[in-house]
Amino acid sequence: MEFFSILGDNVALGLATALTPEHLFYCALGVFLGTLAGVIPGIGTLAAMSLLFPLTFYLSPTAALVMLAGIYYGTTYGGSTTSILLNLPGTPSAAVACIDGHPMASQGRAGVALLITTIASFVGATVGILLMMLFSPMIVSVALQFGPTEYFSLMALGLIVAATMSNESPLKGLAMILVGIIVGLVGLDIYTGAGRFTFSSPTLYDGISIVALAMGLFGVSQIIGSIRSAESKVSNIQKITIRSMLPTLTECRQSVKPLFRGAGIGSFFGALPGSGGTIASFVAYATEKKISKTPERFGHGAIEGLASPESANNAADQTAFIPTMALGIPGTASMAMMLGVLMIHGISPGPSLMSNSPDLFWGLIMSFWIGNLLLLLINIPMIGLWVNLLRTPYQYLYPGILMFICLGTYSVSNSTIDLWLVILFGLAGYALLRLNFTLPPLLLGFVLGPLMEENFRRAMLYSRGDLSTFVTHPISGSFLGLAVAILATSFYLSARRKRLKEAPAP
Amino acid sequence: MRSINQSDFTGGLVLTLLGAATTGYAWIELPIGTVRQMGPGFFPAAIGLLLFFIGVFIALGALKSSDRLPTFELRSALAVIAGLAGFALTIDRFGLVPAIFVLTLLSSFASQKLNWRVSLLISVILCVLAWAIFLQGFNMPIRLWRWPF
Repeated sequence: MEFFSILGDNVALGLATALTPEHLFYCALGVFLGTLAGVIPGIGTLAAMSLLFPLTFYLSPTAALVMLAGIYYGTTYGGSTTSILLNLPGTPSAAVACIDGHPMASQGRAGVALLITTIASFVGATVGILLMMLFSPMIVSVALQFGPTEYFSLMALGLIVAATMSNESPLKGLAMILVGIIVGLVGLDIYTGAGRFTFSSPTLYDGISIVALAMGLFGVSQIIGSIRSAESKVSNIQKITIRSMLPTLTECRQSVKPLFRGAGIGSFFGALPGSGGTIASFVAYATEKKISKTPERFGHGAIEGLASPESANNAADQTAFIPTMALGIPGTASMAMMLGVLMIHGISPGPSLMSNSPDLFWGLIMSFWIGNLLLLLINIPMIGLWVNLLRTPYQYLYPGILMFICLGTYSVSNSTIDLWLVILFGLAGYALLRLNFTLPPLLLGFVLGPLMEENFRRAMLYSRGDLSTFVTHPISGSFLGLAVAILATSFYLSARRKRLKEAPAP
Repeated sequence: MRSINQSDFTGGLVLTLLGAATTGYAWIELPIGTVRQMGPGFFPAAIGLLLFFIGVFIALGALKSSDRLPTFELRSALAVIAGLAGFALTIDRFGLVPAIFVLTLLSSFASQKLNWRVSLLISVILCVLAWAIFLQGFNMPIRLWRWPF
């Protein structure tokens, strides 16, 4: 019982931090702007997050955190809205929402689809937050015993899972992670102070800013790719009234169980390093289809096919915070973004955060929950605004997005050097996208690379240069064993997929 | 000519070069050290080497399948890059308003549906938005106008 009374105290502490009028205002602002950016077609969750994060740099740390939470949820939700109405997934994890969400919209049930998405976000996130509150303290107590050897192996495992899951070719995923690590190496070496890849330019000594990298990779490259393709698209989106959002009684009954099943599935996959929302939503969809008595309805606007994956997606987004906050190891690119921005605010997540600054840790968790609640309250009356935004032709929107990229980047350091980096990464990202590489693993490598190097070097100091230390430590050894097994499986699967694809051709 | 997967081949080749350049830079410019006492060059050299081999594997894999090089939207890319570069060159010298005009007018060349009148209108709207959000809302220290001469 003592455990729960401590938990109760922590929740109270968190709520006291998050519930001041000022913080509520910034949370609401974050949700609003996040949804706005997430809704814009061609701007995925990562791009929307990188566009808006610089705004928080001008706020006090706590206000910034609360606003970050709002932005984070807002962008995810905005992405789903675009998927349903335009059949155009802004993020891979929103792709599943297209399968049944868009048919619902074509049948005139767009309002219901949007409402279910909102509710699913809330249910999934709430379950995820509860689990996070329960499990984070336990994971922290285990993680306190981790040394650099274990950390290195755990990060290697996370990166390998991320590389193999996000791309059909595991080699390309691995390559993107390595490129990310190399970009992350730019700057001063923490042990010796030697400048690496700085080319004697003092501005590169601090390393490359995550804002510049993310804006280039996910903002500029996407815009370049979208301008022409958006011109040929004619949007025919119906008007959505609050009344049309009300689901029928049957629809309510049909979606209750999937909501919670999805939340369970999502929570599990989210907490695994490297997997996250995309896999969770696909698994949730497949599960619903399998256990349904009427699987033939799936793909033609089955409400379960929308409720469950959306709930899973949001639960996973939430439990993905468990490794991020408790271990300091982000499992997905959006978590890596979050971690990077927290570090800019002077917060370094990890086992010591929870004991050293509990107000911050619990305040953040509670503001996630409040962010979700506000999402529900703000977005239902504003849905008309989002629909109008989606009707606006892209050519009127992209100059504005570019302006946000410019001002956001410029404001981080008040210098134009980051803008030139945005251009460089934008071009590189566009080329990589066209050559069928996926970019999110690059960001993950960028954030984890320096941490990996630090732990690798520390581990080598402890073991006096004996590489076998990674295998002989039991926890570290099992992490690496798992990583090798996953890598081998994914190479086998991708080779088989290739053979199957080429077999029918003469 | 034999058919190969041109995008994978190009991608693999670029990655191989990047890996080689990383290892080369680390080898020449930075002390490598030993496994026991690693220098700042050890980790970059190792990562570069890994990328080199993965790049080679991707390029070799491309020899077995076939695919054409994708089309790049050069006009969009050039216009967007010109707009961003224009912004970067003007913001410090002339201030925010001219920078936004340069950005919008240059980047509007990417779209065939934007004429100069619409672009000017968008520029004006964006200036008001930027002033309201960044200067009034977030108190960012950016000058609206500057006259450098």
